[in-house]
Amino acid sequence: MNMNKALLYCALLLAYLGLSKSLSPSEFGISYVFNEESLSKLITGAPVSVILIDTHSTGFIIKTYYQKYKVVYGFQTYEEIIVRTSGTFNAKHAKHIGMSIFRRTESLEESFTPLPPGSVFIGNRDFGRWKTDHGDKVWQFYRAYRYVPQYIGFENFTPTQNFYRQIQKSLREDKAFYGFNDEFGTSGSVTRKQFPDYFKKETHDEINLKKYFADFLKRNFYRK
Amino acid sequence: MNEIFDKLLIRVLFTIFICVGLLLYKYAHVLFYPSQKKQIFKKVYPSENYVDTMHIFSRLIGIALIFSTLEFNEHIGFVKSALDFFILGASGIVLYLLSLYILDNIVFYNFEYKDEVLKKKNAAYGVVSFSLSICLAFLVRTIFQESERSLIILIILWLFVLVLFGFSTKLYQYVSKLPFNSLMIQKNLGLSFSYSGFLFGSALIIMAAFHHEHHDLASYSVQVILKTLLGILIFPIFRKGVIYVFQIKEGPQTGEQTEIPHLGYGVYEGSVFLMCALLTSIIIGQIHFGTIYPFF
Repeated sequence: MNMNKALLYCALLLAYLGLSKSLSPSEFGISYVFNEESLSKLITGAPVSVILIDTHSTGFIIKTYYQKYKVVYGFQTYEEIIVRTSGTFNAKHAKHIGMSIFRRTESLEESFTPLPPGSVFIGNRDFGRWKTDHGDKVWQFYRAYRYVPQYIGFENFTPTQNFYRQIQKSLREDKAFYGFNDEFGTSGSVTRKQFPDYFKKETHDEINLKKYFADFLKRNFYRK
Repeated sequence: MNEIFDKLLIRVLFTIFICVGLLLYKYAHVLFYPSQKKQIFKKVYPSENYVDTMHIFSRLIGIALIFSTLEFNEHIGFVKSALDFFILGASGIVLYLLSLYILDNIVFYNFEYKDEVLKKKNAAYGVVSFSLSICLAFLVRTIFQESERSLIILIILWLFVLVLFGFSTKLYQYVSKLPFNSLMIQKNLGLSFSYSGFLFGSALIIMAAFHHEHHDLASYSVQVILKTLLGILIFPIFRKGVIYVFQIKEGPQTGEQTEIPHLGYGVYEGSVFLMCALLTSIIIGQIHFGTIYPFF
């Protein structure tokens, strides 16, 4: 009898988990990205640059991780997508907020090295040209693509030819590049300015007990 | 002054309407128990048959519980609001009486009102019938609140709640060691307390499952089913916890026999069912996780 009850309980538990999984509203329309390959399958079109703009985790003991991407296409406007990710993938990109973590060129070459946003468009003659400015060669987008710097968060940042060469070198070595002065990435100055949502969020993980009890006493016993 | 008289008049009119609702029950009683036509039209002597008194007044309390959820808002227009009040009030009584009729037939499928209440004065039947009426009133009240004054949603939710509650009454044999039919025939009060606790517990869990936000009926129904299923999973954990902490020796034959057999065990079971259901309702109804959307 006890065995039957235990089996019935397990069956109910499985039914609950199965129903919750298939019917939960939070599961609808959210893709799961657990590695680079699944990210590549999710993003279609070329040329394209996937910029990680925000991350979030829910859960107390068993965490669920979410990432928000800004997908900037060459020939159409950008889109923002939210995906569920694995803990490993999320931890791997913890320092890459505001950076391009995936790109595909027009010749369908894919790379996953974390680079400054929109690197795929820099140096591509279809999108712009190099022009000399105070002795330095800087990248300028054509008029038709004047919105691209705004989409990728380059509004006040001008890539130089040295910057482009370093991107190519990092790509070959598969080594993250945060800019010569660490302008990009989670602690980058450009990222903080261009993708402020991540930094605005209040973190619930840390609690100051002294402040909490002081607030509690003030709320309950202090009268103006 | 005219305005004050007007408001008082409206309140008196609604009081009369509620009394008419109670009168409606008197005639409904005849419909449900046709063989007892004379009995209900006679004067009621509460002290003569306390089981019958419990039976009738539990239903009147139930009707009062349902009426207590109705609202009249003159600011949306007197006629509109009065019609809303009358239609919803009348639907409430009809749905409640239908629920009673259906659940009476499910729970007491082996028993007759006439035999148990009027002839045998079966106290166990009276207590269970009292609990059933109150539970149904609370459930109908809950769906009234959740239906947001829509008659269609009210009827759908009523059918839904009836299926869930009807199904839950059949689960008693799996959670209790007391045999319902044989002890009911023996007028066992222990059984009545145990079953009443179980009924109140089930109603509490279902009410907690129904109480949440709804944007569309399909996802709302899914959430109700999931919460009910969760309730079924959480409830035994609390029960096992109580048994373990207080080292309770389960089984109706354990311990010394009292004048009323199984009374202590029935009280224990009923109390544990009710307490565990209350705690379960916290777990399924009062723990909120939010969504990821405010953050992104």
